[in-house]
Amino acid sequence: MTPGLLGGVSLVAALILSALGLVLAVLAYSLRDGRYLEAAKRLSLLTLLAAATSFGALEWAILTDDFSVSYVANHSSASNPLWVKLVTPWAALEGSILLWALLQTAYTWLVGLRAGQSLDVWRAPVALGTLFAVQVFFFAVMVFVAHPFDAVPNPPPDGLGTNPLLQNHWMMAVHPVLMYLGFVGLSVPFAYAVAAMVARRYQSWIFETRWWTLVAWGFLTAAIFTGKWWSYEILGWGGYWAWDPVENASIIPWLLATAFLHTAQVQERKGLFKGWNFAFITLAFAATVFGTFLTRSGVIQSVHAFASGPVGAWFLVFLLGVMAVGLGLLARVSSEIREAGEVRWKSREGALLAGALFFGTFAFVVVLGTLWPLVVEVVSGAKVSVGAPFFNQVSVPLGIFMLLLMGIGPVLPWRNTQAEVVRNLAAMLVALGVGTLLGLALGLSLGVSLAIGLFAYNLTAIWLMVAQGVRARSRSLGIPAGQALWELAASHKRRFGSHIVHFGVALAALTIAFSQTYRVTEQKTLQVGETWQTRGLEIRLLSIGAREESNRFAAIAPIEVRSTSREGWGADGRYETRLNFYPQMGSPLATPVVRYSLYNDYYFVLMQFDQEKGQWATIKLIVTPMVWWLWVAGLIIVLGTLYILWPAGARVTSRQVSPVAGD
Amino acid sequence: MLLALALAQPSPNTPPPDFSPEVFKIAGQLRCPVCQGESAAESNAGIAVEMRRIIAEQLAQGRSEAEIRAFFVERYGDWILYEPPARGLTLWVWLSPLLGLGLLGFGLWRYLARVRARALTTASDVSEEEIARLEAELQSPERQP
Amino acid sequence: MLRFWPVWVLLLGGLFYWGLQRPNKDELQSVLVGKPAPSFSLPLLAPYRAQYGAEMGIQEGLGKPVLLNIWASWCIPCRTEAPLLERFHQQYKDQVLILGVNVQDSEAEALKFIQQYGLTFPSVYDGRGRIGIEYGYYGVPETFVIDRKGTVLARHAGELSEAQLRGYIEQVLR
Repeated sequence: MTPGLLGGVSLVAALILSALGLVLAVLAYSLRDGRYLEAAKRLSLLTLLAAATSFGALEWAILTDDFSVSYVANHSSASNPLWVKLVTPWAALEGSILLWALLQTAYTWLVGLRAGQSLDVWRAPVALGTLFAVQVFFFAVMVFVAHPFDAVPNPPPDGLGTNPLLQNHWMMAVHPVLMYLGFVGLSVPFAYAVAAMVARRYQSWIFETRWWTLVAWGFLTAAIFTGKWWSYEILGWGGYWAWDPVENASIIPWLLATAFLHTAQVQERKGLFKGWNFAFITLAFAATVFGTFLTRSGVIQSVHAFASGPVGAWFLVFLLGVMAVGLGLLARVSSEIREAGEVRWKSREGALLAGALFFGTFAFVVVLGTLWPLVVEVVSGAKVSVGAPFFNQVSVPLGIFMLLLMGIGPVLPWRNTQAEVVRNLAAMLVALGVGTLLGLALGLSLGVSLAIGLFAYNLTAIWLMVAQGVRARSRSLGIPAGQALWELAASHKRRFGSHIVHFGVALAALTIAFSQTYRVTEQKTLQVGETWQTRGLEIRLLSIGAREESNRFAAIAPIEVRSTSREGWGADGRYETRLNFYPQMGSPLATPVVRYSLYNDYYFVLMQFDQEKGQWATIKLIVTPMVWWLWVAGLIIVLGTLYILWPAGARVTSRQVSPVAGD
Repeated sequence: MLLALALAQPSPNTPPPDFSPEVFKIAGQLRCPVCQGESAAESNAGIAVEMRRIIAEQLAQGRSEAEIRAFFVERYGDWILYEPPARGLTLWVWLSPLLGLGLLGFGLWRYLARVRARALTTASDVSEEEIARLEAELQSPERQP
Repeated sequence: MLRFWPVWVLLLGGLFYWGLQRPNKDELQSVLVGKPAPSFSLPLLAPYRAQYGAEMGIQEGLGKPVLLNIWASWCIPCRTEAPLLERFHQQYKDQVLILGVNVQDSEAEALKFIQQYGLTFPSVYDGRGRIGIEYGYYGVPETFVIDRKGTVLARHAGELSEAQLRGYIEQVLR
């Protein structure tokens, strides 16, 4: 048995099993027979095994340098280090679809475990059927158009190698997997939504779907932050977010899922907003497919695009299918969802709805901005670009409103506003004003000053929430404040977790404002031994050398950096700037050296060097404030999400539920 | 053409000029014409290097940022700008935040009005079966069969 | 709005379908078409100096239509295009000037390329691609069709086929 054969056979098996699962789910639904559901659940495990076998076969082929397998011949090389080989399955189109499908089968299996329990018997077959249908699509794509295991008739002695950009940083091992876990994770809420609409049970789906969405959201958030990190440490331009269409495609589902996580609370609490929640979930999942379609079809130019091919058309059909199912069902049942009640704007639900409004608007702006060049081309034949300068500008007002709402929301009670709340809001506004004025007094720009104000405002909000809760508890129970905090945090995981997440978001916003406003890029050519004095730094070029490595050749220009004033604080050290030459890439790839400090980041890139005599090198210096804190913020958000999801919290969650309108 | 770009472009063995922060700031707003969605500040393609050089030269001649951008627009059209001009068809992207807020806000307003109207009239037109199903729905998930 | 969901889905599908089926997704219209070709004068590559002088370029008083071909030695389509251009140069050299502009290249590599394909039509050297940017190029090869009066009639991005090249020459001689 060769890895190619094993992989191919198990792919076909997974396709057949998925199709069978779909049939069983349909039977279980239409015949109302629990035995079919049971069989479908068992089948989901078999499918997972088949997919895992296929994925394992691909790893096997890559690790054993089996170049008779097309994927290995095209995207791997015998000289790759072990870790690169391990991550090569998702370094190109076919393998990434295989990883996607594998994760999909895992999610389907997990949903199967809940079928018949929290997922009731009316909805379970529909939810499983939806997931099986998604699987059928992915396995069909692989079997029919993007087969990783095609046999190469005359295997070459070595493969063409892995995309150098992807083997330049270990983050490659982490970021794509997280992204797929998030993208695929959103298929589960979609399946639950479809199930709820088909089974015409419009309320109960929300509890568990919120949980699933939060899981996917956590992965997506982690993926977006690791993606930023990767792009910051690899691409060498000193930024972490370029508003490339594919990056946009990852933020759209994130925004829509965020909107859902907020409006879902209104539905849980008051039974309102059912239709909107179906729409948010459908669109969030459709947005993940849209992102996949963009990267794999080349319909819009992007740095991240995989080689395009016939796969694009398949994904387009799938995208339209998802939208048609979700929106079609919603249109059919929307007359039946009779919601009644009243929303008080000056309460928690008002802030939640307003928040969702802004998340939705932001998603709309990103979708429109991403698609507009295509629309303009259809209408007028002209080509235009919509890129970072545009998105950066429109994000500012939207971001300010969202940060304002983020502070207000948790402070407002579900019931009507009371005097204490008004005092809290006043304190927050004072913090906003003081923070902004402080920034202006320090000579910072208006935008950054406002960011400081908004950070102080949100910090105050969280502080007031926590402090007042702790004080009330410690007073009424006569326990010390520390114990009261501990008990509150343990019993109100959702609330405390959301405080943590909100704190992370506020911190992220602050770091984004600083780094986007005060990033500075400079470039200078230095003779060996020459010193460059700039921005409180003294940069000396020590020498120019070369090094042969297993998968690449590197030109290395070590530099010594000394800080001469406060502006260059924390930059001292000796750094090896380098250009990596990969055999499969014509031009060299610069790997920046990043030196983080508590305030400024120093970023050194070797741009060019004297290839003949080794006498000069061109160094690019980028100084950006606070990027390190952005990674901290990302970590805080993910930890906060984990805190909410931590199993003990699930019981608390369900106990808090009071689906009836009113308080 | 893309294939051609993937091939080695020999870089001349002469040092590039020194670039001030201003150069990168302007280059960041311009598309690198041969790249797949990178700006002239990010890309290391020869043409992007040359664009940065042109920007540096023009800055040295005392040209303003707007004039430099106009220089590239004259040669490439609006496509070279990552910030689409706020006129004609691309005016709509600038209006998109207001448009989105307006559309969604209108939808929300209509929805809330409907929901409120329904709350005021009694729910008399609901069938027995529907009420039973809704009641089952309103149970928290744990207590369901 | 939701009632019209098939319309929204179809609109989106139509947009993407149109985007997918475009024959050349990256094609960019030149803003120079219909305008006077930017004038320039650049040093000729060594083999042509004896015949054409030290420098050559686009300027008034050429009195001949020009096919301005931007090329580089590292560009693969240029390798199939070069012999074709050479053939047309032999055939039409009295009526049309085929002028090469070598961009983003080292002079030594360019000379090797010229020798390898035995190119007799003149090429100027523009190592950093400055003139390329003047013409708004976004890849190599690229060909600008310039009429007798110095107006740009067309820009062809990518490799020329024989029929396309013949078409352009007929257009420019008309």
